[in-house]
Amino acid sequence: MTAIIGFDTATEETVVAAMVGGESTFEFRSGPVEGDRPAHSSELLTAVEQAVDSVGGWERVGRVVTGVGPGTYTGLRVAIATAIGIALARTTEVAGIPTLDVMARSIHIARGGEGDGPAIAVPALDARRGELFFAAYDPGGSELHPASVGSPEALAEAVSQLGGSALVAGPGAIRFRSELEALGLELAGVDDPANHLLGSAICELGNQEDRNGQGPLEPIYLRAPDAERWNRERRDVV
Amino acid sequence: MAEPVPGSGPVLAIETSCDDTCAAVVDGDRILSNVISSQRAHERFGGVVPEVASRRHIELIGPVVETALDEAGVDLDRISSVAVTSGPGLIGALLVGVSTAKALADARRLPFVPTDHLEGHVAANFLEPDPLEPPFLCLVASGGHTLLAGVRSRDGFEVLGETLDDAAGEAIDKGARMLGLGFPGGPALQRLAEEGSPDAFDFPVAMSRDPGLDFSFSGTKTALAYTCRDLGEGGVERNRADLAASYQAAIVGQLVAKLDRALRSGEWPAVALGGGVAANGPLREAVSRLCEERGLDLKLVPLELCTDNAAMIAAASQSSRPLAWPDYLGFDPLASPWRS
Ligand SMILES: [Zn+2]
Repeated sequence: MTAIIGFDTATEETVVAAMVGGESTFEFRSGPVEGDRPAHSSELLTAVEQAVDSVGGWERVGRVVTGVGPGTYTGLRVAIATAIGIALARTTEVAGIPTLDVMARSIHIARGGEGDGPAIAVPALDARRGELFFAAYDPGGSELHPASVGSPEALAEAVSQLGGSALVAGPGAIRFRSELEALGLELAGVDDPANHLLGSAICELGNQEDRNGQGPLEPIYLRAPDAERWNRERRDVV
Repeated sequence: MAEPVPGSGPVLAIETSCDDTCAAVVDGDRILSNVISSQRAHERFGGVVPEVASRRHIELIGPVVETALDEAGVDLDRISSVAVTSGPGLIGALLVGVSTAKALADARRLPFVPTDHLEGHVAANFLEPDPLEPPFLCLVASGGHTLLAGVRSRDGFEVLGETLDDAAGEAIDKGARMLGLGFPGGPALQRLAEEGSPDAFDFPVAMSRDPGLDFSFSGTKTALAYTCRDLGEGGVERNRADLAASYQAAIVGQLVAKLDRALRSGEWPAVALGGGVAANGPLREAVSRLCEERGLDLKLVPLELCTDNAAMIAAASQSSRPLAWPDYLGFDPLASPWRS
């Protein structure tokens, strides 16, 4: 049975997991102490090696899947570059998976899985500059609202269009807690595990042969780099 | 997979410290491939934009490494170690190269060699076809650094002088921008300067009376800014070629003055130039003259080894300390000092 290794560094946390035949063999999650910068570069590969060890070595690894964002730019590139390095070194299949897909799956797993979870999962990440990265999914993992970047108000507007009960969770739900609550949204509690990416969710989604979302190792930014925005705006003025 | 013995085969090197995505395969002093993918994307911004550079690196790094292996005709099985620039440089850009190199080395159980970018510029001189053996004096001048290095062995160098503010290439780019030229400014400034007189304007050759070997370019830059202000738009337009020639002469003059001073110790039988500014015609001519007068050898490496490249990182890695697997898994370019 081939093993799958999954990881993600699009949030402040470093998340790594391994799975063989649907059974988790390794799960790692580590976040920085409040105020510290994320330690993706020092943590990721050590945890990946432990994950590989847990399945019996690289020869057993059939697939490697990494989150491709959206998320913090520098962070998500650490995971993608790591996946690129692995793809260069081995014949193992290597693929990318949207981080918000994984976050949504994590919300459903944290909330008791099929049936018991919320009707709609709204994963939300901190996008800085007062904005969030968010999307919405039904319990089966189908996308109801595409990955977007916007204010808490924009998120609330998107959720109101969907109807049905929706749960907003993730680092963005913690960061914008008061704003989102004031907009009448249902949020996962601060200590709710639904706010964290599960490594096993990456492996689970990465294991589905027919996933549309599983694709190339290309980051999802959702925003142009600052200088590009500035240039465009300036050109618009001229 | 057999564990290769370090130093017993070609090195795969990666360099992503600024805006060029580079990979190379080097065996001893012999370059088997040297792939440089320059990011033209920055031209329209008038300078290197770190986030734009990082985005391009992540798109290019896989194909660039594959091309380097293909062109070298070397299979990964034959690679003995993976070297990568670990600094100094743009941190987001460095992380792309370091993360790729670390994972590649790890998945192959290869030694990993974090390498200093500036040692790379110096080590470019060790590469074939005409390796230059120490001792020599090396002037590295580019958009990112200005350094006078005393090279006594292949194991490292002594910093004799460095810039106190802008890098020489940065000063050239900024001056070029003041004269309405695009980015990068070096070639355009040089072309414009050919039509003007270097004596038309009196831009002081900064630091030339300073007894040390450090550089400073901000005074020259400010002098150009004031002159442009005083001339007004029309005046600048009429005098552009003279301004370009005089400004370029002041920058080159300082580089040559410090080189000249460093050579007075009589310790250095040869001089080498590195960095993108080494492509500058007047600098090459002035340094050639200086070496001729003093009876010294001058080493001018080909342009693709002057500007940022990975072959020079491979060369420098051979005298750096390799980290054996798995000691480098937690290596973080942000946490480690550039030079040990
Ligand atoms: Zn350089």
